Amino acid sequence: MDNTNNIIEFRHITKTFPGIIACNDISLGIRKGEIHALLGENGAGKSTLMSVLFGMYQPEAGEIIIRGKNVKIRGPREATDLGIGMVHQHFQLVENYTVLQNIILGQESTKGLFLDLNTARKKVVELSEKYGLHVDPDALISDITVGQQQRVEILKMLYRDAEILIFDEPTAVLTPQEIAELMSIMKGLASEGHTLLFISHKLDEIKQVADRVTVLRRGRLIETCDCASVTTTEMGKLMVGREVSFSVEKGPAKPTDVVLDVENLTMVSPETKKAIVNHISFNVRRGEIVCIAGIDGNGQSEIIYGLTGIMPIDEGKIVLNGKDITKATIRERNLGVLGHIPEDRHKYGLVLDYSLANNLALKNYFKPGFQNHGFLNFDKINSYADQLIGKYDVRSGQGKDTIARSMSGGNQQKAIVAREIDQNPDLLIAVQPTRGLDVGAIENIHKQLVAQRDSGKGVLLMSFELDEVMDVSDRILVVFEGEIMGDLNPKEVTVEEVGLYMAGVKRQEAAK
Amino acid sequence: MSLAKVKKERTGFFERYASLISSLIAIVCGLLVALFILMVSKPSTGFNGFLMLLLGGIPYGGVKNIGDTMYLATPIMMTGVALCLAFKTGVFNIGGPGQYIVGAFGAVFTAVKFGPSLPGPLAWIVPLLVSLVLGALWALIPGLLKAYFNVNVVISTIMFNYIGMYYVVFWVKSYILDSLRGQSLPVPAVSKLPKWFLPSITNNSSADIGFFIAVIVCILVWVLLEKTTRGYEMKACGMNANATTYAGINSKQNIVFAILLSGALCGLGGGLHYLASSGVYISLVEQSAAEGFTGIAIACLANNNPIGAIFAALYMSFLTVGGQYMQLFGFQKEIVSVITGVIIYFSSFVLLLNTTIARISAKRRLKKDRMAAAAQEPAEEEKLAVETTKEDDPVQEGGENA
Repeated sequence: MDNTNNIIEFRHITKTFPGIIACNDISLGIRKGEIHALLGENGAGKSTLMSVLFGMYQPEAGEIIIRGKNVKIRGPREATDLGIGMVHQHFQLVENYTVLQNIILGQESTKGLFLDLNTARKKVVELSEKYGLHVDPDALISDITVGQQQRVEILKMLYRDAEILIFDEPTAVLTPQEIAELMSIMKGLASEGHTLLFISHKLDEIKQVADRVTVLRRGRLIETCDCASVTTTEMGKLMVGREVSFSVEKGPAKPTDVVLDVENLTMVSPETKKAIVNHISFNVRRGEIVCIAGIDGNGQSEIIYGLTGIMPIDEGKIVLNGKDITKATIRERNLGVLGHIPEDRHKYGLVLDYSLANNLALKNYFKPGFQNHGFLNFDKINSYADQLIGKYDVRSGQGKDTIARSMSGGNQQKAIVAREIDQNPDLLIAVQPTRGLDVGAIENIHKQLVAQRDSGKGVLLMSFELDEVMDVSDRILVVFEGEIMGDLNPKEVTVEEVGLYMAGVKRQEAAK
Repeated sequence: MSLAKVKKERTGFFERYASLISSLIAIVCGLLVALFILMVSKPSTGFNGFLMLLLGGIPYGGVKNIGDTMYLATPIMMTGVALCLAFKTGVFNIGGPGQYIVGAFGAVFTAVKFGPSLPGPLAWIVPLLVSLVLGALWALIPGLLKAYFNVNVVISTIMFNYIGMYYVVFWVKSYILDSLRGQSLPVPAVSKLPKWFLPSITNNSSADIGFFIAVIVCILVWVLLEKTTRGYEMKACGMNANATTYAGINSKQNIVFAILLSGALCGLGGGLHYLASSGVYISLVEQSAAEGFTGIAIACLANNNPIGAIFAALYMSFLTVGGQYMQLFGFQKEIVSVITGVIIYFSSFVLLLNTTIARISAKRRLKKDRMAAAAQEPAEEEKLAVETTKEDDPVQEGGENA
């Protein structure tokens, strides 16, 4: 390896957490001015390695060499002083401050006792023009889009004269257009001599924007290669350690009886009195996967909340398995039998401070066998947990005793999927089941959904990812402003067409 | 494959007993600062005074002090366990003083008015039950407000402390006033808690069966929280009410139940204290019942463990008893309160210590593991090297996984 060009060098970095070796003896050189992607499954150690570089974790072993100097980075402040900046997956912005205030926070230039906003403003405007990071410096963070918030984060780094920029899964929260803009911004930054480290598990993006890619798997460095010389398939294989299929393998659907019948469902926002879900009717049959597609915020989440009973509905009728469940409690629906993989796994899916075993028992603990006269049967809860962990390959530091909070996102999701599918529900509602997961985990979850379908159950999927919608579903319901715009067959429509329905431009006559 | 090795990690001694150890460290720190204060304020007798505090005054008082410790521990054990329960289930019930004093009034009122006409042990059991119910009632409104309107429990329960305190003064004046002494009427002898064998073995101390009732309640609360489905639900609701709603658990009902139960236990604490055989009266001072707030410190020191509350309460009351004897060494009564205050203050560091200990012990374990690994390494190094190359072959590992 030619060391002279390397701006950063990791030498034998090892970082462990209880029960897991997050980074195992990683040595890696990053060249000045390149866009270097770090690719790996959830929990492969990419974020940990970057956190070590940014000073948030101290490695147990190994050294970091920056610009030829051996450095110890004890905190983000020291990292900033070394010219390292990081855009976190979850933005670190003060909502009720303006863009400018956020950018200068912690680095305020002052005149005497007073803030000198003008100098700061000039620098910010200059930077944003130079790199095409257009954002109004006086807008409040709470008023701007997620994409613009991300630009604020990038400006924050540049304002602090960062030369090494770390992007932690920057595209996870963006729309396709915003992603394209971000890519060009990143290329611009690199051509100006900045070094970019880019954490991702989206192969296409890496291929598109990065110069080199380093693949990590289970804390070990697998390979570093030039992006130009590898295909996405090869990258995927390196990442998960086996062949992955990107398209979902499934036979034709054989729909039978109706399992869920929704009539005239209406839900009104308590604040605005506007109908979020506007008189919609649809059904799901056994043996098919029906997907609710649409742009975020068009009433999809509310439909799900209404069906599962988390939110009351204002009008309409919901029939599950021939039984009217319109007014049934959540538990009655669960037992009736409805499985629900919720949209937000931290908010709804898990009790994060409970052990994995307790979380897996969340919908069972009250059943005979799991309890006896109100007393929990821990033997049963534990053996049930072990059984699910084995069957669904849920990985964690301390097995069933692991606190859910300390598990990686992918394994948290696997645990939820395991719990819900193991109820053997007649209707499985899966909301964004693959959000934030890597290809290996996505493939696994898609397989589970198809298996569920093939065993004669109904599956209602909600997703914002068009690829997923097209690949997995047998029928697509496109919603726009709380109404169903079309009931489409994915084999007969193109992605562009679905997009038109999603944008409300096109509408099927029959759907009215 | 090193991952699989780490997976079967045992938890070390320090990790398993982290909460106990941190409680002990908090106690030691508090005592050291107390010693410092004593030495500064009266160097000549400071150390002897401190020794007396540590020994609970037993050199002077003998076994009677043990009995008195049990007697003083009873009410704060009850408020302590009430708050353990509240904190574990995510309701920050700061209404201990109000629930405690209202419960106390309920017990005294029932005992004074109906005690003599109730047969046998019912003369004290019924007043205790009334204190339980009144304590719960005093927590009911904040509980409902929290469950249905998401009103901050801290604020509503604090308000109810004042309402309770003034109401009790008003009620005592209206119904059970001993106008000669300006306090509540004495509890009739039949309604006082029995002492059983306790006076004979503790040299006529104030101890009565209230202590045993409190200990049993602590154990029952532990069983409820750790062993029952209801406890599972209550704790889950406290940690994440959205997830429990999603799972079909009635979160509102659980929140209301948790705060009611917490209030009931505080109320029972008041009942146990004011029905004590030693003869306690509700005075007409407009002051929050200190036992209610001491409960917070107990819960803190006990790391919200109901069994821990038993020992934390005993420790606190032991200090109080010992403190009384420090006056023999020329210390003012107030300095004793300062000392106990300092120790309580340190108990709030328990949580911090708890996480620190967990972190340190995790680090130690890793170091040990690495050293153990290093010791084995030379022999295994070659083998490992082979393994690594194997692992690098993606297809092969895929096969292993499948």
